[in-house]
Amino acid sequence: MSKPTIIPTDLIIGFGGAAVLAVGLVAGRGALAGGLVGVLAAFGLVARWGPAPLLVLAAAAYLSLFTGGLPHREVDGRGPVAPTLLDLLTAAAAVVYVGGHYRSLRPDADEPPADELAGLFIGAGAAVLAGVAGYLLVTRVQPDYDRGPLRLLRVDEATPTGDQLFSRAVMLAGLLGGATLLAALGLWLARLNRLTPDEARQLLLDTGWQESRRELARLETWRAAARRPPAPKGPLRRGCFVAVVIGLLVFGGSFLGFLYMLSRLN
Amino acid sequence: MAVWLREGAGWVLLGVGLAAFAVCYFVFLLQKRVIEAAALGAIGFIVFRGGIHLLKVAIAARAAAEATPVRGRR
Repeated sequence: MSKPTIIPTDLIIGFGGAAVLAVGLVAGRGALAGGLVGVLAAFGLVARWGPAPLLVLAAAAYLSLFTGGLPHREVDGRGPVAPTLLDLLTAAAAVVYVGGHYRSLRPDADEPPADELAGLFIGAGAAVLAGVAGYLLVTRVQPDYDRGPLRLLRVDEATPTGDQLFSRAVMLAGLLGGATLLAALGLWLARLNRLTPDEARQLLLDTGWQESRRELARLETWRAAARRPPAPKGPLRRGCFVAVVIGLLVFGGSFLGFLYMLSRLN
Repeated sequence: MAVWLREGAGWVLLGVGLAAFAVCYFVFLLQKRVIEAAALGAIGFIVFRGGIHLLKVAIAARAAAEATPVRGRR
């Protein structure tokens, strides 16, 4: 008699979270959108595929922020400008799904950690706050070229998506990229200011080497060539010819690009 | 003195690079001028990298000099 197969609890939790997430997206953003996300989440759980939650979260975040759904439909009127109860439920389901998925991937998933419940609640709260911030960012903040780079819209003039979709997507990417760049710069500077004298010496030595290694290698090549007997000269200085051609191409391309930009400005 | 000059120049180049990114984004990219944004982004990247390089060397040189002060010329 064969032993009955026991479905791990983590897998059931993951499937439950994925199902609620998919139903929330079906109700709010369209059947195709929710169905695709649900199928992807289920496939990731069954196949024990690690990157699946990242793709699911990215797809759910896109569909939640850009509310036209999939396929994209124009929303009549002003539409919702604040998160609904369904959005909060979807965010909590996403946290449960991610937790269940990664717990099911652990080899020793028998006993849950003692503080897992608190972590899940904190994660759900953080996900809701991040979702609200992102939602307000794409529905209430608008590029404004007359008075300043960005303008905060009033509630009655905010629109979910539509003709500003491209601008909002670019805005979101730009703000995320800018914040990441500034954070990385700050961390880099903080680390640089904590250099020990030995590390500072090593850094200077490495920088000196990086700056001069090509020139030193070239000089050594010429010194070694001076020791060898002279080789018969070929009919064409190929390296020089290629450099001239590349230089002309770069110069011509830059000139054409400059002309193009001038024509766009006028 | 050279270290402070180098650090100041690094900060200036860093600011110019960030300003180029900001102009690239706020002026060009939000108006869907992708080619202009790419050109200015490349310029900003080179200037930004130059600033980072100057700043890195200046801070490292200051850290090394403070640990072992050189007598005579500074």
